[in-house]
Parts: sequence; structure tokens; C-alpha cells
Amino acid sequence: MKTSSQQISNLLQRWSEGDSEALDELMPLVYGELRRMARRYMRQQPPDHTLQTTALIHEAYLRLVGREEKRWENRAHFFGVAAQAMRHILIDYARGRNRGKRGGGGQRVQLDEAMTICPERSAELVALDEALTELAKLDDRRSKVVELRFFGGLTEEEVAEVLKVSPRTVSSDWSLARSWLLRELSKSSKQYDG
Amino acid sequence: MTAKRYQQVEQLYYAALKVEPDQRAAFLAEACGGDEALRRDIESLLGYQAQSGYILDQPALEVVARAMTGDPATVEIGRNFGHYRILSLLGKGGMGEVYLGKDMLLKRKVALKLLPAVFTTDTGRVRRFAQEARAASALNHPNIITIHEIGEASTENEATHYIVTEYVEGETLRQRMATASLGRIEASEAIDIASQIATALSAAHEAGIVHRDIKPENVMVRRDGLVKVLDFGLAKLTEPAPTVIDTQASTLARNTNEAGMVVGTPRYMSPEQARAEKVDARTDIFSLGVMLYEMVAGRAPFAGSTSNEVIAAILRDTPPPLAGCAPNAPPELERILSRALRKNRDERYQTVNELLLDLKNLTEKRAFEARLVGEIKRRKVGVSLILAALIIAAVAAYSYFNRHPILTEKDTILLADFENKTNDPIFDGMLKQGLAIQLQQTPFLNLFPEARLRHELTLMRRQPNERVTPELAQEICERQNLKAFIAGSIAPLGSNYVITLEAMSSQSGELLSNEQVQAESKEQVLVALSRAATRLRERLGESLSSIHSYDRSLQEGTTASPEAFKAFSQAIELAVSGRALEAIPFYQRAVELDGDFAHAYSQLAIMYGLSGQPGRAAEYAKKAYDLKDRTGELEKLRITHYYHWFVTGDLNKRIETLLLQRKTYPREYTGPNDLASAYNQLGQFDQAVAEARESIRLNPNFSAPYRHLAWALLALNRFTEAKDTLAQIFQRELGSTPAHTQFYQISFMEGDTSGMQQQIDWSRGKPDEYVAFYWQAVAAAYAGHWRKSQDFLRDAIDLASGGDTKEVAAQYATEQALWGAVFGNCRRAGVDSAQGLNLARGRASLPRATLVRALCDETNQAKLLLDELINRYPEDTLIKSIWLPAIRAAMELHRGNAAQALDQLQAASRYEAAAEFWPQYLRGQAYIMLKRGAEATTEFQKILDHRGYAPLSPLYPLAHLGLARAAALTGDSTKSRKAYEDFFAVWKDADPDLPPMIEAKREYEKK
Repeated sequence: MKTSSQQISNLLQRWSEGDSEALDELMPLVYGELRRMARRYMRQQPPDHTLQTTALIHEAYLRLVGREEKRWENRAHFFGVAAQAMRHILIDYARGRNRGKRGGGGQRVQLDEAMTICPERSAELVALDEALTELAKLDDRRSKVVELRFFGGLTEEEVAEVLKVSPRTVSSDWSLARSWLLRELSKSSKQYDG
Repeated sequence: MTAKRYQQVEQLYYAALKVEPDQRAAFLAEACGGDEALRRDIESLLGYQAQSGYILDQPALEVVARAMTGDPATVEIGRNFGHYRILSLLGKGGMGEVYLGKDMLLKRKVALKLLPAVFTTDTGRVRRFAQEARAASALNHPNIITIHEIGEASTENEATHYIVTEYVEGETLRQRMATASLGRIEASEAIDIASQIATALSAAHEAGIVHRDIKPENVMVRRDGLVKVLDFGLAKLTEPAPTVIDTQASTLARNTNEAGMVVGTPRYMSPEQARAEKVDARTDIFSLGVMLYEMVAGRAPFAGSTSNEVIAAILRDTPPPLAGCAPNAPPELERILSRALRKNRDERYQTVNELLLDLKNLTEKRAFEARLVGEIKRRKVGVSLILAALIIAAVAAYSYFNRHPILTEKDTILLADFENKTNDPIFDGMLKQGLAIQLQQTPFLNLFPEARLRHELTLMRRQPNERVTPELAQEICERQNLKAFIAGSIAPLGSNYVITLEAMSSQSGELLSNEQVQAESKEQVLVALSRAATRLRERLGESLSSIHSYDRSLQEGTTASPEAFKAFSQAIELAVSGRALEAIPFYQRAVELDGDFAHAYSQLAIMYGLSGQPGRAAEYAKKAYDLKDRTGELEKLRITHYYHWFVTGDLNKRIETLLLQRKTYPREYTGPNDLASAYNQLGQFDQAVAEARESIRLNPNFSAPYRHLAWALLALNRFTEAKDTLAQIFQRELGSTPAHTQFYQISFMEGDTSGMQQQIDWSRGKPDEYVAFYWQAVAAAYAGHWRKSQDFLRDAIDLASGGDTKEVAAQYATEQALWGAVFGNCRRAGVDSAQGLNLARGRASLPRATLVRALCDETNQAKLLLDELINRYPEDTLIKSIWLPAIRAAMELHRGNAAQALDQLQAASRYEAAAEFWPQYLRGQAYIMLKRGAEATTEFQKILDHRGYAPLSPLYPLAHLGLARAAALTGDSTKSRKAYEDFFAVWKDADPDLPPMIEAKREYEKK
């Protein structure tokens, strides 16, 4: 694992300051992590899958954005940027914009055919992204809760810390935002399979 | 959504979450204060709150990573369930996730569905589910997914139930709809998909399995178009416990299970399901209707943003017209959907097969239309415009006819023979008869009579019993200028039967209308046929009020027993070809099989009546009369007519009934024919001529009115016309025993011995060949060949008394006795009349036997028989008006009371034209007794002037003798001598020892 959290942190810093190329460089790192996760999912055997899944995700996030980032003066800011970056990268990926379009750092992104994301899930992710943008217009805090928790992979406590609210507020914000988004998703995809 | 609104939503959402789930609906109803939109908004959000397993429930990184592997959201790829290995996630629904798996033993791909643990805690439910799912799979139906295994994989902590099915490569119907343009699937494809689902449901329903959760997620559409229905039995796992409370709140509560998770969507629920009532197969019909609507319209028929709204719409709303959402959808589809989506399941399609048949018909019709369009396109440019215009006009006319009455009351239609595609010969002929009876009950439709059809076939140099195929029917329609014909078929469908009726235009060969119905069993075939016939009548343009007035189902009106109906239709075929006696055993069989078969009883009555057995006829007419309220209107009138003919004998009531029948069914030919017969019996020959001619006009191939016409013409002394009329019967090959009898009589009158011989030859070998002996006996008696006559009659009586025709024999015997009495051989007459009464004591024998006693001066015996006659036939017009006066007059004459005899005969004067000379003869005798020669002359002259009244009556030659005596009384010896000579001319070879002959000779020689 050559990718250091230092490197990612730098890229995130650059991106938050307006350098769009930083995101392009960040992408292959995220994809690499995604592939690794995916391979491990495939190898995984019962019965301890729940534990492993949690550990796997945590590990991936740790590697990508780190939990102990000291260099950032504003920890909340860092997590916010990281979550936003993940959102961009993942949604871009879902939109299928990854292939050959950007090859940040000269490294062309190539995913195995088997590694492409299934179209339904892609559509779902894109719709979710759009709904989240809509939600932000009505309720910025709740949209941030979703971004941090879903895209940033933070726990409720971490989100609470980032947003400087109580974990209970995060929990209830999450509940409403989640319901609202799911309803928007069902409208957009015409799916009503309770 | 405005910020203010969002705040309201936010506030109430949290407030509602604090309320117990089953109280929420009530809470919101109050808290929203009538703001329905707000209430719905919050309810829908709360609905999502209760659900899990969505995209947001794992971090995005995991979602994407899993999506890259095939998206195992909760179950890991590579995990094994038994000997199945999970390869990737295929889909996800309320009832768990479906994975693509590999059967490691059989090395094949499978679909593996993992059931959420929450549904599998109740082992009883799981068992019921497994049972039903296996049963559906065991049907081995191409449209039902095959289940390989239902199993349970246990780990330390939990047991996961899973179902392994065949792997279907394709998409769910939900996905199919999502990818369709505007969400609308093209109508033909939608109909095809729905038909395949219906086929699957049909098989399942037949096995007693109701799906209960038909929805697009449970339907797979393979790339080649094959449809598979999934998840049979699964609804067993989530079935709510039956409750009786029926409020919105409780409905919502029932739709969520213990865990508070909404199970399934209510969108495809039937109203009865939404009310949590017990459901049956018809719930699937509704759900399929919802899906079909959605496929075609691109939107659900019952919409709402919350479960409650959807449920309310299901219970309350009529779906928006299909035309609004899908302008190109065929209008028939609208009708089909409206029947499938009836709220009241009793008004819905009752079986999925009915729906299936309608869908199939629609498919065929669309294919036909497509062929027409293809035809237009195929033609070369020059011709194509004209042709296109023509075809478009034809299509337009076709649609026009579909909307407007196709037939009017002036049209006559032909019934082709049914095509029996089953292996069961019971349906041969039966359905055509059934349909004929069913369609005849309405005055709206006029059927081309079967006898005419058979005759037409002979004119076409075909066999009269040839099967009338649709092609042949069309040819006959063209020859006869009939507007349309109906062709039908019966085919097996599993253990069921499908009956198809098609009304075809004879000019264009186009399908005017068709009906398909299904019968669940052989016993239901006639019921189904009735249903189809009624629908066909409606489509052909009969008014609903008319249908309502004349709509007695075959089962009610005839019989529910196919075997009985089969026998009945065989009998009718024989009867139509003039073989009444041969038809009788089949009718007998029919009533043996179904003792309430009114039609068969009434047919037995007429068959016995026509073959000279009024007693048997009365017996069956009475039975039919007791059952007459079960039959259709026409049959009821006929039965009433037969009742008055054979049971009461009241000719005036008979005529009254027939006049009503003719008024109700003015195009029906048997009414005027029966009227002609009744008028003849009353001696009202002019009316008989008119009615008989009307009947012939309506059906020139029905033999009876020719006979009645000939009889009337004969009575009116129009012998040549009578003979020509009879000749027509033979030209049309409609001959029957009564026709030959009449022809024999006319030949006899004309001294045409070869004509007489032809009739005798005809009768040889016939079941009723005794009639020929009777004819010869009568002819011999007429000529005074009394011994010869007795010989013939003995043979006739022997032949007739052997079988089921004892009444005929009894009539012969008593008639012979009557001649014996007239010829002065009372000893012999006594023996013969006693024999007659022994053979059968009834209408045919009793009046004659009584008159014999009266003529022979056996007053006491005559009185006893007279009382019997009065008691048994108090309403019989002919007995009251002819026989009783004649008998009483004869008794008075023997007492020497000639004046009283004349008084008695007053009663007979009204109908004496029909009395075969008895009143005139007895009156003449009375006047001679009173020495009133002129009056006596008048009476005998009446006989001599009306030979046609009874051409072979021995009273006719005796009237010469009477006239001779009457003329002598008036002193007109020339006239008297002439009359004696006329008598001797007829009796030239008469037995010399016959008393009238001896007396005549003595009287003549005195002159």
C-alpha cells in the first residue's frame, strides 16, 4: 500500500482550495481502494462477514482520508471536504465518467470489465446525488449529515462532532433526510417495491 | 416544497414518530387539520422510515464496491448456501434478496432467494408457504418458475430460509416497464405478457393455488419473450391474520407486519385484499388487471403517494380511461380491463380463463387487422391507393358494425355445425341444438330452419346430413341471401372446455362478432353455451330489454345433463327428417336421464301426438306443462299449446295460445303451422289455408303446413290444388307418414290405383308400415268390401299393437267397430270395440267405442262410457261438440226420439265440417225417421257436397243411400233412383250379405 494518507490529505487540501486536478489524482486512489474492497468481498466467507465488512470499510476510509489527520486546522472542514470529494468521485464513477476521461497523474484508470458498476445501482446513486442537492436547498444541515455519513463514511458520533451538534440530533436528522431521499428516489425511478 | 412547508413536515414527522405506529394515522389526521396533502406527505415519509435495506443504509464506498462485484448488498458473494454458491445479486424486494447462484452439484446456474428472517419465524407459515410453492412448481408449467429446492441454512446465530429456482435470464416486468418508452409497453406485447401470466394463473388456480401477490416484480420476462411468474405461495408468509376492523388506520396496520415494515406494495392488491378479507382466485385476476393497465397506460390505475391513498383508490376509484393515457390502446382492452378491475369480485371475470380467452380473441383480432394493413402495403403502388381506400373502408365498416347493431329483426341467420375438437362424441350435434334452442327463444333472431338447410344441401348435390362447415354455411347463405351465419366450436382446455361462437358476415366473410366462454366441466358446457349465446345476442344488436325478457339459460330451460341433452339432440335430428317414431326412444332416454327435461317431454308429446297416440301425448304434455315455467318463452308457449291439444283438448285455448305465439314470434314458422292444424280440426278451413301458407312462406322446407294446407284445400273441394300441394312435399323430399296418408286418400278419390300403390310401397319396412294396411282397410270399407277391410285391419292392428303404438291399434279396432255398427254388424262391432278399449282406453278409442254402443242400441253400456268420456275430457272441444252430441243423438234415435236426436245435434252444428259426416248423417237419419224428406235430403246432400271433409269415410257412400231414401220421401223417385244407383256404383263389388246392401237392393227393386 503505497498510497499514504499524507498524499491523500494533500490532494484534498488542494481540491478544497480550488484545484480541480487534485480530484483527478485522487480518483485512482479511491478506485484502487474500491477494487481491493470488492475483491475482498468476493473472497469473504461466512460466518463473520458482518464484522469483516465493518472492519473493511473502516480500514478503507482510514486509508483514504484517515481519522487522525493532524495537519488540518479544522478537522470538521477536512472531513467535510473528504466527504464531498468521495461524493464527486463516486458519483462520477457511477455516471460512467471514469473511463479514460481523466487519467490524473498520467495514470489512466482502467477497471476490469467485471468491475463495472451495475446500471441500476449507478442510476440509483446518480438519483441520490441529485436528490441530495435538492435537499441542500431546503435543509443544508440534513444534507450535510447525509454527505458525511453516506459519502464520508463517518459514524453518527463523528458527524455530530464535525457538525457540532448532539449525536441525537444527527440521528433524527438522518431519519428525516433518509426518508425524504428515499421518497425522492422512488419518485425518480418509479420503483415502489416496498 | 417551500421552506415553510418543509418546517411543517419536519415538525409533524418527528411528532408522529413518537406516537405508536398503529396510532399514527389517527394522529396525523388530527394534527394535519384537514390539510390532506400535508398528511399524505408525512405518511409517505413515515413509510420509508420503517423500511430498511436501501441504498443509504451502507456507506457509499461500500455500495460502490459491492456494485462492482455484482452488488451483494448484504450477502457476500462466494458464500455458500447448502451446495449453492452465491455469484451476484440479481434483485431485491420486500420479500428478500435474489442472487444468482451456482448449483455446485449439478453445475448449473440458479436463482437463490433469501427470505428475511422476520418472515420465517413462524414455522407453520413457512410450511404452508413451502407446500404451496412446491405445488405450483410441480405443475411444471412453462410460465411458472421451477423451484429446485426450499431449504434452510443455519449458522450459530440464525437460520436463513432460501428458495432455489431455475435461473431466468431476463428482466422483471418492473424493469421491462421502466425501460419502455414513456413507461408504456406496446399493446401487443402487453397483451402477450398478460396472457402468459394468465396461463400460469389458470394452471395454478386449477390446482387450487392462488398467488395473492401478483405484481411486476414477481414476473420475469425472458429475452425471447417467455414470461415466468415467480413467488407462488410466498404470500402465505406475510398473510395478515384475518381481522374484522375496517378503518383506514387498521388497514395500514395490517399492511405492516410486526416489525413495522411494509410488506409488499398495495398497488396490485384487490379490493378484498385491501379490506383484509378472505381472498380467492379472483384476487389474482384483479392484480393481473392492474398490471396490464399499468403496462399499457404507463401508469398505475390506482395511484397515491401513500399506501393508504393507494388502498383508498383501489376501494373507491374507477381507473382513468385507458384512452387518456394510451391513445393507441385497442378499445376492447378497455372493456377487458374494466371487467378485470371490478371492485366486486362477483362482477369480475370469474375465472382467469375467461380473461385469457378475451385476451386471445383480442390478439387474434389485432392480428387480423395487421394482416389487412400488411395487405395494403404489399400491393403495388398503382392499385394500392384504391385498394387501401377499400380496405380502410372495410375496416371502418367493421368498426362501425362493432358499435352498431349488426343484425336487425329482418335478418335470418344460419347455424353452421359445431366443430368438436374434443374427443368426446357427446358434443356432436348437441351444441348446435343447444344454441338453436337458446337463440330461438328471442324473437329478435330468426334462424334458418334446420329442415331448409338439409334440403338446400340436397339441392347442392350434397348429402343432407353433411357437416355444415363455415365454408359451406357461407355458400348456403349466399344461395339463400342470408345475412350471417354462426359457426361454433368446442375445444378442450386442460380439464375445461372452451366454446367459441363466431358470427360471420356471409357477404364479406368477416367476423361480425365472436364470443368465447369456458366451461369447467362437461356439466357446465350448456350453461357456458347459454352465456355465450346471450352475449352474442347483445353483440349482434338485440336490445337489452329484449335479452332480459327472453333469457332463460339452457340449463334451466332444458337440462344440466350433457348426456340427456345429447340424446335430445339426436332425437331432434331424427324428428327433423320426419322419423318421429325413431326419435321417440331418444327423447325417452333424455327424460330418463333428466326427469325435469321440459323440452324433451314436450317433444315426446308432439311425437306421440303426430303418430296417433293422443294418450301418450297427453301424458308427456302434462309433464312438460308442469315444468313449463323453467323454459324459455317460446317453449313455454309451445308447451301450453300441446297441453291444450293433448291434455284438455280445448281447441279455443289452443288457438288463443297459438295466436299469442304468432304475435310474439311473428317470424317463427311453427306457430302458423300449428294454427292451421287447429283450424282444420275445428273445420275452419279458410283460416287454415291462410296460416298454412304463412308457415310455408316462413319455412318452405317444413312439411307439416303443406299437409295442413292440402287437408284444408281438400275440405274446400279444391282437389287439384290439394294434390299439387302434396306433390310439393315429395318434391322437397319432406315426406312423412301423414303426407303419404293424404296422398293415398287423394289417389283413392281419383281412382288412381298406381298412386295408391306407390304409397303402399313407400310404407314397406317403415316402423309404422301398419298405416298402409289401415289405408287399404279404409278403402275397402268405403267400397263395401267389409271382409277384405277386416282382414287389412286385423294386420294393421296386429302390427300396431306389438310395439309402443297400442293407441293406434286401439283406434283401428274401434274404428273397425264403428263401421261394423254402421254396416249393421253389431255383434262384430261389440267384439272390436272391446278389443280397442283393451288395447288402450283413451281419446283415440273411447269416443268411437261409445258411439258404437249407442249405434248398436246398447244403451246401458253406452251411458257408462259416455260418463267416462265426460269425466275424463270435460274441456275437450271435439268430444264436447261432436262426439257427445253424436253419441246422444244415436241413443235418442234408438229410443225413437228423432226430435230429441235433432236437438242434441244442434250442439254439433258449429264444428260439423270437422265431424267426419256424423252429425249430418245422424241428422239425416232422424229426419227420415220423422218422414221429413226435404230436410233429410239437405243433410245427406251436405255430405255428398263435401267429400273432402272425410274422403274415405264409409258414411259417404251411405249418404247416397240416405239421399235415395230422403228423395223417395219427398216423392222425387227419379232423384231417389239416381241416388240408389250412385250407391250401387260405389258398392258395386261390395259384400252382398252386408245389411245396407241387402236393404238397398230390396228398396231399389220395390221402385
